[in-house]
Amino acid sequence: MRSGRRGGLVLAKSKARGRGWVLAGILLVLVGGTLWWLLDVPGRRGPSSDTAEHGGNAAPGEDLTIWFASRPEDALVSERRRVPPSPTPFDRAKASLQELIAGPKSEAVRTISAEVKIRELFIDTQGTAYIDFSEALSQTHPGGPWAEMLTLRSIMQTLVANVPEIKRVQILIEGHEVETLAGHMDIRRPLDTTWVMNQR
Amino acid sequence: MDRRTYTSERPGALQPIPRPLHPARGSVKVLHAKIYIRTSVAHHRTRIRHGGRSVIAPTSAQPQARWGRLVIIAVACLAILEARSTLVAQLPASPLPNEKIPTVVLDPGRGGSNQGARGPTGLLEKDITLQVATEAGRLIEELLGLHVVLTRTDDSDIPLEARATAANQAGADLFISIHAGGSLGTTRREFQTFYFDDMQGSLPAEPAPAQERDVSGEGGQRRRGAGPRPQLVLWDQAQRDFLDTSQMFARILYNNLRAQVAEEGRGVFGLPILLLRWVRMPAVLLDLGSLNDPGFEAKLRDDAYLQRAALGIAQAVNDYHALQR
Repeated sequence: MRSGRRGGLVLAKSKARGRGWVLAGILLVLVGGTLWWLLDVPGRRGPSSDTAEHGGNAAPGEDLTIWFASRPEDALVSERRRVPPSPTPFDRAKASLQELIAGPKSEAVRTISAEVKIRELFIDTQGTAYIDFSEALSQTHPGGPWAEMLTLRSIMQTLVANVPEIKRVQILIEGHEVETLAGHMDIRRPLDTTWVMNQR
Repeated sequence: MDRRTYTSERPGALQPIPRPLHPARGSVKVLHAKIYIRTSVAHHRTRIRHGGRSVIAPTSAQPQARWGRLVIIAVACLAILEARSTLVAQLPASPLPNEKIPTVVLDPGRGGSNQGARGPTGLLEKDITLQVATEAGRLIEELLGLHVVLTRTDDSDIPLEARATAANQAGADLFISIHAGGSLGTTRREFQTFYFDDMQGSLPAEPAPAQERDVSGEGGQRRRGAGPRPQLVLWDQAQRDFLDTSQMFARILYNNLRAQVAEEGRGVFGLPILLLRWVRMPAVLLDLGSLNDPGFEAKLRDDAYLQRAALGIAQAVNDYHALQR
């Protein structure tokens, strides 16, 4: 009898101790969660395209993916750029091309000379982007089919990656359609998304 | 460029030989003929001598010696006739009066004010392409006996349309455009070969327009048995029927270049190159390498390197025509 009563007391004490641990755990989770929620300002989440919508302390903007030639020049590689938010596909396309012309910040190779200017840009309702470059695009190009291909593909890949509305790209130089970029590649007609390949 | 001479010691290999060609026999046909004559006649002579010794030696002073001489003379006559027929059979495609000699168009890229790529020390693409094309043309004519058409022979700027037109007008069998383009950076880029590949998917064969399909208006009844109808080929689709052959020749050219210049190239690629689109024959573009790389520019200044490149082109043409026969 005695031993049975003693055993019941021990069991009751251990149950009470277990409830205490559970309550402490729940309390810890609640406090930790509250602290995490309070300290999680938008700027600490890292860059994202919807930062401006949260109205945090970080500068508003969006990320663009710009494609340059790899070194050695056998593929394209991408770099991220943070730019002010673009309200329209037109703005985003223009910002993307300007970053492409500005050149890479890593060891990648630029595909367009820094002397090139964007004269006009227009996106029609069918998703064809007409880009009018200055003549420096062809005049400063080193030539060669491979180099021309890399330039065209970097333009196409950059635009399609950042502006989903664009399906085709027609390149103009000084307001006119031209036969080739620098003597080889046929650019009389719009380039379509077959120019966009899986690149690293 | 050092003008050396070449001969074919075995089918499929052109090797330089140190002695000059005989002035009166400056063609590959004569060289081939000499080799085959030597081979064939030597073979038969050996047999003749061998047979002669075995007949003459033991009985030279006997009356049967006359018969022996007669036998030798008869065998020698037969051997000469056989050697002649063997030689005729082995001569490389001796052109009959009505037989068309294959024509190869070599297109030295750039020219005139269109200088193309420029090396760090001033070497110009237009000069390199002309030098290699001229030498390759000479080798193809002299060693292979084929006709060669150069789209330019001096420092003139020829539009792409005119180059394609010259090739199509010549009814040529092969078109090789030679370039030495630059690279975007200072990356070294070795030679590459290209064939036409329309990346837009607009080049596949299209049916002829309705009025072309049935000009009689009688459901084709009147045309039954009238033979094949003339095929309408659009200027922009001139290369359409030669895509596979062009790709095959691009690989042949790449492999021969690699063997001759003893270095790895960058590969064989299909790209929408406008000039190739307009050419109605198997057509490739050879890019010798990036001229704006200092090391590679030095290599392209070396006449021996350019001559090996020209020899690679000639060898590729030889291999291609051997496959076509």
